[in-house]
Amino acid sequence: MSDTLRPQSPDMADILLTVQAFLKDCEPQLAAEDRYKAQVASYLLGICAREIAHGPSRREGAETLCADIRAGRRDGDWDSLLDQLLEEARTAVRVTKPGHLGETA
Amino acid sequence: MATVSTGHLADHADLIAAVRRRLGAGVTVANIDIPTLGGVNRTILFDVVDKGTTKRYVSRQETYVDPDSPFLATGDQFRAMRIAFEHGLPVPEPIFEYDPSDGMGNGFVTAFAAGETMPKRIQKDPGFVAVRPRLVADAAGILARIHALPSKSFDFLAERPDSADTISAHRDLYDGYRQARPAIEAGFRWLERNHPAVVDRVFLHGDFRLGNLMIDGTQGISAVLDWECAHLGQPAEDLGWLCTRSWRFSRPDLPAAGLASRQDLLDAYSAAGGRSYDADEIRYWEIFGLVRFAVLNMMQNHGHVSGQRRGLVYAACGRNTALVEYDLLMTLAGRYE
Repeated sequence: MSDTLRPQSPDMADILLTVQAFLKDCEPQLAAEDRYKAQVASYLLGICAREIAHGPSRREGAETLCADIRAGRRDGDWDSLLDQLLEEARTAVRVTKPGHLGETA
Repeated sequence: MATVSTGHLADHADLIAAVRRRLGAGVTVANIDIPTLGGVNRTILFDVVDKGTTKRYVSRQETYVDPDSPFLATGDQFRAMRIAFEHGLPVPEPIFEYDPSDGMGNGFVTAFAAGETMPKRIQKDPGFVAVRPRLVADAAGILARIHALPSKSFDFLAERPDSADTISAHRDLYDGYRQARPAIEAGFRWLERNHPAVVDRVFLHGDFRLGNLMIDGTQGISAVLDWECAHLGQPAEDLGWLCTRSWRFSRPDLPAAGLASRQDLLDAYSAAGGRSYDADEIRYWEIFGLVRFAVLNMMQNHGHVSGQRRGLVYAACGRNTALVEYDLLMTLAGRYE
């Protein structure tokens, strides 16, 4: 027995878009509270689609980095730390809500 | 108020009995509405008719108490609101607190305050044109009066972790959620290295921002809502929270609630008798505001993934932590104004 999964159709990205479209169609018929929740649901599906397109997330290193920051071991290269964290934050924003990157003042 | 589902009188015998116990056996309760937007607290709107006079009230009940909740218990909220009300501040009039014989759990009843709380409407709708230019000055005046309340009256808040040290209280919350987030860690480190000297310790509203201010199109600020984050601390903390980027909504270019400049707020605050601050002192608390808001989003995420209270909106809050971290880092790196 093999657990190989051959590509199926529609793929996940397509399914997410299809469910999103369904939610959008429902919105006009929903009362305010449920309409808001449908929008949030659609937002969450959008995050899933973008995260699938991005590829797997990585956890390694976060604990050590946190411990180093807290202990002051990154005070000496603070600006490059911020640059590194900003790069990571941009990636997370592009997955979460790409439009947020444009919000500058 | 958004959607409302109408409650039947028969389903509210306990509420009606509790109201009659306080306001008189002869009063009638009518027009009961339950707004479905309410989150953790149960909110009931109702009229009390007393000898031909009708007045609208709001009942707030705790439906679920998170043992690690950083927020004030309803009894302490009610107490803080009553003190503010007695000093003439615009607070929905506190009417009574539930006790065990009501069978309503923890909660209280206040007068209903009419108006708009939706930030983007307040910032953009033509209906607020007349009051918009003075909202920040009015808010500054109210904050100055809140901060001038006799701090002795609020000894019951002194033992709270956020009264002792709001930054370490939030770090403890963050640690409790057991998610290593380097951006938030960097925020805490910056706050630690740049901490201002503690000059005064006053009563703070704790969540003073658009969304918690009831705005009337002609009167301006008709009520300050949501006192569940009240604690003792430095006045600049409340001012910085009002300017925190997340609370500027559609106008991030205008630091004071997305309505005016930081200097406009500070000038109005000192003109109303508040302390004189320079803009950098407020910026410190804006950084704290971003760290705090990131931690509050983590709190909603924690409630969701731990199964204590699951929900779409809480899940979205968890993911939104990344957006607040981005704003925090952009601010720390000096890339925002």
